[in-house]
Amino acid sequence: MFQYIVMRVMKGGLTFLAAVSITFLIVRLMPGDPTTAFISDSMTPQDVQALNTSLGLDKPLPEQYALFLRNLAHFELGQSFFYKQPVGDIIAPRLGWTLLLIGTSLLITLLIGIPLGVHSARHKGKGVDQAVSTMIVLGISIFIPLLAFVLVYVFSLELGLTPVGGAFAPDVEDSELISDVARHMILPTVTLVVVNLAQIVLYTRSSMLDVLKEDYIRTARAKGVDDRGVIWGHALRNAMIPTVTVTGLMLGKMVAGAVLTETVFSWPGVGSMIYEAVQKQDFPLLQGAFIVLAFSVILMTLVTDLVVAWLDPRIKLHAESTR
Amino acid sequence: MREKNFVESFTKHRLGMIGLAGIVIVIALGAFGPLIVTYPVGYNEATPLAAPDREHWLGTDGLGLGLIAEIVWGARTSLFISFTAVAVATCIGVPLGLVSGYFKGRIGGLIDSVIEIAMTIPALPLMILISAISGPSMGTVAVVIGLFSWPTLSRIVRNSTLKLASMPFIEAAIVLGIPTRTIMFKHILLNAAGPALVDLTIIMATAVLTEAGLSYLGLGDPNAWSWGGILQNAFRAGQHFHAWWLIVFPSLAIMFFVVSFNLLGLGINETLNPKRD
Amino acid sequence: MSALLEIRGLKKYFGLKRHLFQRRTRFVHALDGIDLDLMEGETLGVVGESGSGKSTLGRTIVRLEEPSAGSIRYLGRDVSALRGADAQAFRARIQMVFQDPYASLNPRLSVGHALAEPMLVHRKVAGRRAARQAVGALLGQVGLRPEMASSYPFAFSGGQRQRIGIARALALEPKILICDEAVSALDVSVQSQILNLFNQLKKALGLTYLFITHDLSVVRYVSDRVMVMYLGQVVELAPRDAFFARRLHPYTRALISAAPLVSTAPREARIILQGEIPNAIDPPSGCRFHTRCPNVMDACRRVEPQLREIEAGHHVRCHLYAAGQ
Ligand SMILES: Nc1ncnc2c1ncn2[C@@H]1O[C@H](COP(=O)(O)OP(=O)(O)OP(=O)(O)O)[C@@H](O)[C@H]1O
Ligand code: SF4
Ligand SMILES: [Mg+2]
Repeated sequence: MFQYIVMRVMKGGLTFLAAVSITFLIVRLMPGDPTTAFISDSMTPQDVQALNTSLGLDKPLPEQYALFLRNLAHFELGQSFFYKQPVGDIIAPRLGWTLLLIGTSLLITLLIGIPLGVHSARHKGKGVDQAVSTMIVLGISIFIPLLAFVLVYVFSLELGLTPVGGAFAPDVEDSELISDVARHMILPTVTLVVVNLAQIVLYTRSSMLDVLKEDYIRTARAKGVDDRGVIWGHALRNAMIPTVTVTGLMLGKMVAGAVLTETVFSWPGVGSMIYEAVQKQDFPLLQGAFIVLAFSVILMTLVTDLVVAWLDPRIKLHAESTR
Repeated sequence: MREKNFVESFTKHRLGMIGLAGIVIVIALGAFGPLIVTYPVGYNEATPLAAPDREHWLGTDGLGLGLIAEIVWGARTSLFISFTAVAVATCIGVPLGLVSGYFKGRIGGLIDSVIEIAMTIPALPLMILISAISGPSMGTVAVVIGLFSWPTLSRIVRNSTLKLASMPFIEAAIVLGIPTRTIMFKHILLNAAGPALVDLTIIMATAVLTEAGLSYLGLGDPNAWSWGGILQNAFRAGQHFHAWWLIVFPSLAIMFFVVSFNLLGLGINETLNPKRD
Repeated sequence: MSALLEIRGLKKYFGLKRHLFQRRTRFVHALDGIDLDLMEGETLGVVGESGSGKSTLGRTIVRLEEPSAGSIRYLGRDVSALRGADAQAFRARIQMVFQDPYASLNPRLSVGHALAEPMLVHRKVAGRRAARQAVGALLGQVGLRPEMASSYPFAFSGGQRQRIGIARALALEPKILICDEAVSALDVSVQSQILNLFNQLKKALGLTYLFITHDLSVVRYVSDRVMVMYLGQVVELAPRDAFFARRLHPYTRALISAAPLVSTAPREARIILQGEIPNAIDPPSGCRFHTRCPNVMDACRRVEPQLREIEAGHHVRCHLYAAGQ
């Protein structure tokens, strides 16, 4: 197990290195002057000079790369064009909001999706199969802005049940903050849950079907464990494994969904910040947002992988015999 | 299953055929629509933000331009993006999957790690960064989407190849001295094509959604109409809550196209792996 | 008769995957020093329990596996040294017929395509018409109709598929055919048809066979000589009749006693081998068979017996037949 953890952490580090190296290369290898991405019109010559030195833009590429990594190691993500503040300081508070939104919707998705998946696997048959696959096709086809607009239109504008956007009312009392944030979170969370539910159901279902075929279920059944006990006891633990794996795989998609959802709902997370940065051509901020999101996703993937390994002893053995 | 058999059974798959029909409709719309409706440009005499009525079936935008024309011309963008992206993804994904599955040792492991890394990095924020820096252009967006779509395809081709490479008919081909290239790109690919084809439809569907998302975020090509761009215009002008048609109709166009691709994929998948019970 | 194929000291070790904290790679000794002359025009039957290395021997000869040590000479030329065009030419000389008639044909290639492709690659024929004619001739040779060329494998029965597999192996006009359990997957009635086909082809084309099987009655039917393998080594090699009449090696005796109908000698009590075949990662010391041999002696545990010619053409690896006994 220890060996597996070491291997896995190394892989995560490598992935992150790859991600940041891509951003480094994009900025430098883009056609045109590499510096334009970092120099905005509103800068004074002194500003430009200072920036050139801090990025090493006057030095050869390998040195720039080393400097880039060193800055990164010190959490130096550069200076936002628009806010004239360090990128890290702008992103940090917003990251919390994004994680709150993604975490909540992921939890709810799993709470609904796993039972649905198990249920549909138990009642396997042509009718159910058809319904499930149709639902999945529709689920993966949803265009997030449309869903979000419809929700706002119906629940906020027509029915007046939920706030239109933001994370809390500006004049809210401290004591009411939590419930106010919860009210603001409803629609963005519903959006993300609806979008991701289909995949979780799909994967839970197909892994359940695999597990149900396996011998130990038959053995347990033969031993007279009643049907429900079998399904929920033995199979579920094993079905957890692929579900957690899928959660890991879906993190990237969740982030993409969050960017669009936050934008529609003006949720004050990294996603809506990305939208603003695009409008303001704030490249350092965009780069910082990507690096931070990549780091979060890679870290979470690492965690889910370790959980899977902990749930499934076969993986450890496999890892040891193949690496 | 033989090609002829496959086509025959596919035509019996109702949802799959509906998907295929949907794609044909969008292609027809993109190909012939612009011959009928003129390119929407500048200001129009029509009332801006007119709700759908007899004259403007789908309403008009803030400049008084008819939404029908914008959606018709936007179809071209979605078509261009989906087909370019899938071509780029295929050119990268298929060879990488074949090579990494066929040469199991070092090379295969190395490529597989690259695939895994590429799958883990969150694509949308990176695509946003690239499009923002390189400036909005339809070509860039199409290629960038393609560059981020190959990993799943590679995985699928790799997994099929791993299974196929140790099949006796591949060993027979080796013993017969068939060149490795032919073995990979003919003997193996012919058998791996089914699952890969399903993924191609998913890649195209995702490409349409991604392009729409990027345009919606303001990274679309300002010189070309696109369905996501219509949304962005409305959103940026703050018209999205007054003029629901500016949101709903382009979004429905997007989802019509995406659902069509996904139904086609469903049809192919279920034709290749028919349900037994 | 001269030796078409000379195999000397052939070894094939499969390295097991090693993990980070393991010092040395462990090896499966699938072939451990095989010496063998395959004579022109003969059929050599190879028998042995599962895991004894029969398939590995065949696969190494056709270069599906690279030997770990030793040499394989075809008409005096070392074939493992061949590269490029020479290696291609050698491919044509030795072909293989596979066990599973369902898995050994590409389901997506028509029979005609599968047969024509190797001929086109090796420039045996030029152009599509010539290829079609050659395919028709091949199909006729294995008892199928030329029209079948346009069909795909799924349209054929197991026996027909095996005929197609044989036709494909013959496409390059090889001198040697390696048949690895080539009839084991077929129904008994079909088996004899295919075995007859092999015999016909041998006469008509002057083929040499290395016929791998675990079925002693098949070996008895087709072989000129029989070779017994145990844990990657040859333990007995003899002309067929002497082999079945004399059964010198204790392992051979056990094998034959387990299939009593094939023996011409008076039946003897069935010898039941104790235990499983030992694992080929750490083979037993001394004689590899000593853990299960009913005749085991002290020396067997310490000293490894060598393959010795006891009588004309009859080779045995066993201390019972040491010089003087
Ligand atoms: N690619 C491989 N990697 C690792 N070990 C292998 C490989 N191929 C064969 N072996 C091992 O080599 C030994 C000999 O295998 P081989 O297939 O040659 O036996 P066999 O006599 O043909 O058996 P069977 O009658 O079952 O076909 C076995 O222990 C097997 O597990
Ligand atoms: S050498 Fe000894 S153990 Fe080996 S077969 Fe002969 S008698 Fe048996
Ligand atoms: Mg074998």
